[in-house]
Amino acid sequence: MIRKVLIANRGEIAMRIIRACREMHIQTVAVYSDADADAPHVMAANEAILLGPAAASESYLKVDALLDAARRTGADAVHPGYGFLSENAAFAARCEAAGLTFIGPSSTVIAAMGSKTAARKAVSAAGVPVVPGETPASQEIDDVRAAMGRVGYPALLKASAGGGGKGMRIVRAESEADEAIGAASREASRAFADGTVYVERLIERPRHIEVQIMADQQGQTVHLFERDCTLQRRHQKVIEEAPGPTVTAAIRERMTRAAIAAARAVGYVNAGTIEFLLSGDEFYFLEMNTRLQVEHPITEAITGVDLVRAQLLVASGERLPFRQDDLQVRGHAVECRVYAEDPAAGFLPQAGPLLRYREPQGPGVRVDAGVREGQTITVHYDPMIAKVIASGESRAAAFARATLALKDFDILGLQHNIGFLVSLLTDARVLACDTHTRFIEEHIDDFVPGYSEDRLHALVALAAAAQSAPQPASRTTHAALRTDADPFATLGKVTF
Amino acid sequence: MAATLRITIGGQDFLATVDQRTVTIDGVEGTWTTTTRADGRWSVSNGETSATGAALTTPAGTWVGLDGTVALAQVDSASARPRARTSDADALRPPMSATVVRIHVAVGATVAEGDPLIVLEAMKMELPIRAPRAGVVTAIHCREGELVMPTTVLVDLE
Repeated sequence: MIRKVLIANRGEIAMRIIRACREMHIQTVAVYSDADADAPHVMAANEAILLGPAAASESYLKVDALLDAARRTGADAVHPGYGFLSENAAFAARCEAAGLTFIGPSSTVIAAMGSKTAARKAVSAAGVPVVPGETPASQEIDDVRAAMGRVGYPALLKASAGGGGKGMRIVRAESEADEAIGAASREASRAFADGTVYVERLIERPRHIEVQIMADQQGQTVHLFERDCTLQRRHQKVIEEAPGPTVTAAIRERMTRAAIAAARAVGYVNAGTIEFLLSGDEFYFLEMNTRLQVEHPITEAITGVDLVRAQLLVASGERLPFRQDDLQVRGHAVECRVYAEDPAAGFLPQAGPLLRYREPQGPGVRVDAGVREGQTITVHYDPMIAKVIASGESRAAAFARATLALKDFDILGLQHNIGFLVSLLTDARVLACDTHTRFIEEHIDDFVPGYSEDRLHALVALAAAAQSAPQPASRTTHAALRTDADPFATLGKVTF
Repeated sequence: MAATLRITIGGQDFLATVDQRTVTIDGVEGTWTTTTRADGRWSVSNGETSATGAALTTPAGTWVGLDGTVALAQVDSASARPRARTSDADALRPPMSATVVRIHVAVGATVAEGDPLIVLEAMKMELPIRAPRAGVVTAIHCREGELVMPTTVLVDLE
């Protein structure tokens, strides 16, 4: 069994992994940059190692520094989280060479799936339908433009090395090609340290459906049903739900079988996600993500499985703690990504202090976050503040819970997208699944600024009233009250 | 005792009169009742709609949030000059700390409204700075690769 895991990540996903490790009595090593010295993940781990300056390229993407941290702390495994180096085959290979267990598939599988061409070839051979596309052998602008001509317009440009929507560009006509190629390549270099772009035909008005799979080293591969991530903005997922509300039993049967076939075709081990575009009854393989996904909690909510725990067990050489027949969909779950961004200003990422940060609570409500009140959101990393996951016995119940949880989430000190998320969750078309992957972009004016005249006036009234009212009791007072109310206080000094 | 305040949110000015817990806004029908709760949160209602949230006064203004909607309000005395629409529209500044990736224009260039002038990068995303209106670029105050702050004027447009 793994004894000590180095978590090569930050923020909420580092917190999520540390929690699973603690439950399993596995020691944890956090890594951090100068900008994250007092971040919650640094406090939560057993040990923490400084990697370098704030820029990701000088800290969280620095392979040598990460391996050195693992060696110095005696870690025997590395969990890459998502983003950063999680789908970097070279990093996985370096971990393997250093004798560290990389918690994920092997570097060869990451390399095979990371190259979109090889991935398509492999899954296509296993009988999975694919969208026309290619990675241009030469990445010169002229050759990438020619490749776009071959797959046909409208075309989509993506970072070959990663997901998360970074570096993605839609190109509607050849005249837009050159500017888009340059921008996509630069964003790809910055986000993944690899500027290679992939070109494919854009399937219009599809839903984004992905299948979670899990495979152990003994050869058992299971699926954990699908997630619907159709609500995206500029290819960044905004709201995800599980199971897919438009996925019929027949589609689910075909799609999960295709996903397992794709995973088996490459000898996949550990957690992975096979993404599809669903258009009518037809679906196309989009890509395979060889890592834990941001939206994994909704799958955990509907299946009752702990995916990170399963990852740690599989990486330790154990069998999966469940079989396909054990898995069932129970109810519905939805995840909302809370970002530090200003919807009224074109969703510009925001930096600033979390002057007030109070998470919502309640039955069926889970908040995954890696921040705390008083911390500052910086420009250096992804602007996601937290994920609000709500589950209930039906889709309507889950959406109602998510809406209330978002309304009860107090975040003051910077602009954020909670109002935007609420307006999406309560939209009649969203509730009726009358959406597609470009729905938000096409109807953005319905959701931004996301509040009515009435709400604006209520905010004005609140600002005026707050100015005139005495400031609320300080936190020290609350703490003092709690201490006084401690039932053990009357017992005097008690030693347990 | 009633007090009248000038509240600016999102470039809009309002005159709000606070009497105990009741707020009336000039030119807006009805009154808003505000309640502070023991947990430090606020409820605001006009009899038809109500919302719950929080408020926090800071040196930069008062942050207010209701049911997920958040805004930074400037609160002044009623006699203060309206804050809305300060006239620095001619000086283009970055919306946040960012790196200049590309400069699309040179001094003397004539640009149309919406033309990309500068491309910034922050949080792994490219942010184009576009001309807010047609004009002539009279000065460029940044270099490619430079880290610029919201206070930095990037380009002068005339």
